[in-house]
Amino acid sequence: MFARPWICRTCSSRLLRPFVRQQGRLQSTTVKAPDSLPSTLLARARAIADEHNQLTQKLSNGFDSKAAKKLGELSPVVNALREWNKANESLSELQSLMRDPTTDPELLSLATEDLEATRDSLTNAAQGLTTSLVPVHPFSHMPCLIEIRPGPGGLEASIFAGDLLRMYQNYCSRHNLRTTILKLESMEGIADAGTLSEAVLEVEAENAYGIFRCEAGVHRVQRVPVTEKQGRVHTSTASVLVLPNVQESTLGEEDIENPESDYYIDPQDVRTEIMRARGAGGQHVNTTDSAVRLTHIPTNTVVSIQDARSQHKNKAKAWQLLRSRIAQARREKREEEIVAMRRSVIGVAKTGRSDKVRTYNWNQQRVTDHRSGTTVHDLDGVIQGGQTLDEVMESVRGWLMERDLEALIAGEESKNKEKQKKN
Amino acid sequence: MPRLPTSLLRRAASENPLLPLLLRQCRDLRSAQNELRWLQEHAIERAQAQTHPSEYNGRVRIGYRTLLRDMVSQRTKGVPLQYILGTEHFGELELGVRRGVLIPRQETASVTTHLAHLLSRSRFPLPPELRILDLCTGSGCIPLLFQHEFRNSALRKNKNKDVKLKLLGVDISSTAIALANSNLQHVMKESRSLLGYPDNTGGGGDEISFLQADILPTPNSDTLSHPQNIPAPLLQSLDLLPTGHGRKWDILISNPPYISPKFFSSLTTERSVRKWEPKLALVPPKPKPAGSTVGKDTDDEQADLFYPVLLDLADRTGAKICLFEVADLAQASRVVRLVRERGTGLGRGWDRVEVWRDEPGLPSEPEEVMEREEKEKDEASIETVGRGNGRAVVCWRGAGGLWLGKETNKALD
Repeated sequence: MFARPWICRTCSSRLLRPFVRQQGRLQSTTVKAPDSLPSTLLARARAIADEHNQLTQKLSNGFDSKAAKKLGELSPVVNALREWNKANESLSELQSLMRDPTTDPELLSLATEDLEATRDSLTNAAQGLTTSLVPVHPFSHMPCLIEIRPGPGGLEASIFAGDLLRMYQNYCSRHNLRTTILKLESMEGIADAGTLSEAVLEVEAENAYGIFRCEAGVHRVQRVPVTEKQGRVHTSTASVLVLPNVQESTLGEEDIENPESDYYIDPQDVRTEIMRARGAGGQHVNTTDSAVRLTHIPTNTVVSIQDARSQHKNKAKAWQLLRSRIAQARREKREEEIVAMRRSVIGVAKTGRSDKVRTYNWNQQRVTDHRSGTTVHDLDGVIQGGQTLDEVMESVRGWLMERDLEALIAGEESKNKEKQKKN
Repeated sequence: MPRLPTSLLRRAASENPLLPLLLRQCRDLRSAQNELRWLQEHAIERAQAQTHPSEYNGRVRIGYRTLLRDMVSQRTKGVPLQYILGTEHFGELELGVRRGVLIPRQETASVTTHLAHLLSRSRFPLPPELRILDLCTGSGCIPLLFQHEFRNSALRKNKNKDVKLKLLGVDISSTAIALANSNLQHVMKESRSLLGYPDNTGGGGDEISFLQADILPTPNSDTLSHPQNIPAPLLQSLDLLPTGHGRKWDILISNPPYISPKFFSSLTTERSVRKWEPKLALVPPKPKPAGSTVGKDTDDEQADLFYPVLLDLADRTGAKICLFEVADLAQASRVVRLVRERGTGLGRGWDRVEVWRDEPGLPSEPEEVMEREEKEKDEASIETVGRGNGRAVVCWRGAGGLWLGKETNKALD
C-alpha cells in the first residue's frame, strides 16, 4: 500500500517540469541606460556650453531674437552639465579625502557614508545630461494625424482597426485632447459599424505628434474573432500611421510657399478633380455631391475627401492631408539615408512601419510592445484607452529616446573619427 | 433613369433601412450615405434645439429619429436636400435657402470666385469705389461671395486693399429679396465675429444692398423694338436710390433664367429641379410675338430673352465688364454673337469677349483645347477659359480689360 506506485517515464519526467510554462521573453530588446557618461557625449556637452557662453556674451552686447531662441534651447544642457560637474567634483574631493592617510578617522567614516550618496547623485546628473542632449524631434510640438488601416486578415482585421480607432479616441478624451475624424470609411456591404477600411483621426492638441509618435507601426492582434465559428485563434494586423499635421497656422505662410520646405507642393503638380454635376450642370441640375480628389502627379499620391457638405471645406482638408503625406514621404526618405549611414556604425533596430510593434493577445489578456519589451496584462484597460495604455506608450517613448541617444553617440563617434583621420 | 439593381438596394438596406429610400434620388451608395449622415446631423441638431415640450403644441419632444424619417420621406419625393436642411454651401459661405428661391449652384460660385480674384489682383488701379450690379440675384449669393472673396484675396495679396465695394443685387421676387437680406445679415455677423469689422456694412467699408425691381421691359409696352429707350422699373428704382449715382455701375453680373422650354421639359433638367425649384428663376417668360418670327428658333429665342436686355442695361449704366451665366457652349456662342453685333464703337461696343467654363481657374483639359482649336478654324471663333461645360460669357471694354489683367496698358494706346 505504501509502496511507490509505478509511474511511466514520460509522466515522471513531466513531474520534474513545472506545469505551467513560464511565459517570458527569451530575448529582450531593452537597453539599459548607460551609468557612466560616454566621453563623446561629454565632449559634445562641453562644446554646447562653450557656444552658450559665446551667445550670452553676444546677447549682452545687443538683443538678437534668433540668438535668444538658440540660448533657450541650449540652456537645459548647460544646466545639466553644471550639475554633473558639481557632482563629479564633490566625488573626487571625497575620494582624495579617503586616500589621504592623515584624515581623521571620524571624518573618514562620514566620508564613506557620503560617498554612496554622491555616487547616486552623479548617476542622476549623468542621466539628466544625456536626456538633455537628446535632440527633441523637430515635429513633436505639432498636432498630428493618425491613419488607421486594416492589414491582412479580412473582416477581423477591419474590426480590430475599428477597436484601435476607439482606443485612441478614448485616450484623447481622457487626456482632454481635441479630436476630429477627417475620414471614416467602413467596409462596404457590411452592416456592422465597427468595421473600418480607413480612418484618419486628427488630434488638434499641440505636441500631439510627440505623444503619438510612438504608436506608428503594425499592431498585431491574436484572438478568436467574432466571425469565427470554430473557435480558432486568428492573427491579423492593422497598421497605424502617425503624421505631423500641417496646419497653415502652425506652419506660417513661408513654409508652404518656400520651395525648400518639405511641405511645399507645386500647384502645377497637383491635378484637382471636382465631382461635377451630371449632364448640363448649371441651373438644370442641383447636385449635392461635394467630393474633391487631388492627385500629386510626381509621386502618384491620391487624396479624396467627400465628408463635408461644403466643396470648399473638402478641398481644404484634401490639401492638408496631401501636404502631410508628401512631407512625411520626403522626410522618411531623408531619414532612411541617415539611418543607413548610422547602421554602418551601429545595429539600430528597425523602427519603420514594416515590422510589428505591438501584440494584443486576447487569450492571455496580454499586451506586449516589441520595442520596449513591456508586457502588461490589463488588455481591457489598454483597448479602452485607459491608464495602462499610458504606461505602454510611456515605455515606448523611453525606448525611442534611448534609440535617439545611441544614434547621437554613434554620430559623434563617427565625426570624431573623421576628424582624427583628417589630423 | 436606369433601374437600381436589387443587390445595391439590399446592400444599402442591410446598412441602414433609410438608405434605399435615399437611393431613389441619389442613385449611388456613396452620396446616399453622405446625405443620410448630413440629414442625421441636422435632425439631431433640431431635436436638441427644442427646449420646451410646449413648443410642440403640448406634445412630447420629438425624437431625432422621427424628424429624420420625416426628412428622408421628403427627400424621397425629390425635395432638394438644401431645402430640407435650409442651407447650402456656396464657396466659403454658408447661405440660407428657402422654397421659392433658386438654390445657388457650385458652378456659379467658381465663376464668381474667379472674377473676384482676377479683380483683386489687378495691377492697374481700380476705382476707389468699385460699383457692381448683380441682376437676378436670387438668394444674394453672387454679391455676398464676391465681397467675401475680393476682401480676403486683397488682404492676402496685400493689393487693392483701399478699394471699397458697392454691391447691389436686384430680383423681381420679394421672397428672394427677403432671403437675400437675411443672408446678408447672417454673413455680416459671421465676418464681424471673425475679422472684427465694426460697421454693419461688411469688411473695409464695403456696402451690400438688395432691391426689388423688374429687369424686363413691361410686357404691355411696345418698347421692345426700341432698345435705347428702356423705361424699365429697374432704371427708375435705381434713380430713386438714396446714394445717388444709381445709374453708374462698373461691373454687371447676372445669372438670369436661361433654360429653354424644350430643355426644361426634357431630361436635361433634373426632375427634382423641375418640380421643386421656382420656374420663374429657371425659364424666361414667353417673348411677345414680334413681327418676324419666321425662320427663327422660338425656343432658343425664349432662352436668350434676357441677354439683349442685359447688354442694353450695360450700355445704359456704363458697365466696363459684363459676366452673364449661360446654359452651355451653344448658348454661349449665341450670346457671343449678340455681343459682337454691337461692334467696337465707343461707349456701346465691346473690346473683347470670351467664354468661361465651369472651372475657369483650372487649366484646360487636352480634349477641350482640341475642341477649341477646331472651333478656331471656323470663322466665329470663341475663346474659352478653364475646364468643364461652357458656363459664362465675359466681355469688357476700356479700363475693364486692364482690371481683369487681360490687356496691358500698351494695347489701349
